Amino acid sequence: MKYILYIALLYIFLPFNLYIDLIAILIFFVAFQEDERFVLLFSFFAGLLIDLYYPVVLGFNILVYIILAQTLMHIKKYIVHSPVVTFAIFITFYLTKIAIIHLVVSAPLAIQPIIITSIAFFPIFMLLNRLVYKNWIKI
Amino acid sequence: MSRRQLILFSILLIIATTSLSFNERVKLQLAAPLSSVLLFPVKTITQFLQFLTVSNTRITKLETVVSQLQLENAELKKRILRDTTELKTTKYKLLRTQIIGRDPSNINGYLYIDRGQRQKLYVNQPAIAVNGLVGKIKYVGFNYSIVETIENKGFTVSAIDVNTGIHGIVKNKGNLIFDFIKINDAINIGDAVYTSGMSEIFPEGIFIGRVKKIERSDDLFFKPVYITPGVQINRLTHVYIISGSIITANNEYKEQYNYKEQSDTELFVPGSGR
Repeated sequence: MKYILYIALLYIFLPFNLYIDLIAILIFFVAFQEDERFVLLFSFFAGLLIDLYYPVVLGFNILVYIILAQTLMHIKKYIVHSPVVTFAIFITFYLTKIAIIHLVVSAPLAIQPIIITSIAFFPIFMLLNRLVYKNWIKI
Repeated sequence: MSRRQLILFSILLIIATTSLSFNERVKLQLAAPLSSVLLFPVKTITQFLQFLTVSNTRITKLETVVSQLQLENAELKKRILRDTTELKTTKYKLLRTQIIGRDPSNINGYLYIDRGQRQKLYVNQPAIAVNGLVGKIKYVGFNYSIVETIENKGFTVSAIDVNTGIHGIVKNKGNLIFDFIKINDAINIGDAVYTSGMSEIFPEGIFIGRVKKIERSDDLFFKPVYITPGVQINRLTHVYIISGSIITANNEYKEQYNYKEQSDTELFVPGSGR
């Protein structure tokens, strides 16, 4: 059931992704909380949808997201699970994604969505926790 | 990383890198069918929202036009019925306002609107909707105003039955009553009642409602005539405030009657009380 919810959220977030990177937050959340095979398939699907909805280079977002999701799943075993660490990892994850896209595709660097996404991360992360696990904080 | 996961990761990686290595033409050929299937829900919802936004804008514009046309229409009807010396047309300026609240103790009696002194509104300005008269401004705040509606007990407006030309006063006495109609007056059920213009507040020609019921009475002079209001106050979301009038000369009439204009003050202006 929660997998259907993730897919639905993906579709809901898609049109707003230009202003606030909700999908990056969602993938981060899924990578942090869910089964590893689902995470890979989900990040692949999310990347594909972004590539189709905001067509720049087909396959690029897929590649970035599955590599970042895999890396995240790998390092999450070794970190202390606390809000500050989670936030720091998300910022690293998000800025790495931005940097790769900017360097490889030469996409323009918009500061405003980066700031908004960083500020909105924790409230959305908590909302997703509440929505999926009926718990505001599950880190 | 388990073996299964490694295989899955490798497969997905290969798919991503393969799609990256395609040339633009192949990418387009691939993206078109995938996009039409996978993005179908998003596109449908986006299109629907765009349709709603466009429709809403159109409705707002059309409502303003309809209100203005109704006022103009009523005036033109009057001009045809009366003498032909009317050489001026009155066009009303309408200000669209949103209803932001209602008086909880008298839910349909008073409406709170989102315009006030800041938009140069003042007490006693008439308020109308697409279907006719709503009421008049009772109080003006800085950013809001209170409109007393025709459903408020005690509301009064001078009116005319356009079918028969009988004048009277529409009053709210719990029900909307067309008062001061003589026993002998041949008023009919279904007759349209408009503002008569015999008022410093309401211009003539605003639709008030239709005659619903005519009761027999013991009164020797007048009979009670009940009216169904044209506007359903409880369904309103916004009202138009008549914020002023522009009087323009009608050239067609001038030419038709070879009228030699002397001065503006000598012209007959409908609704001016002259």
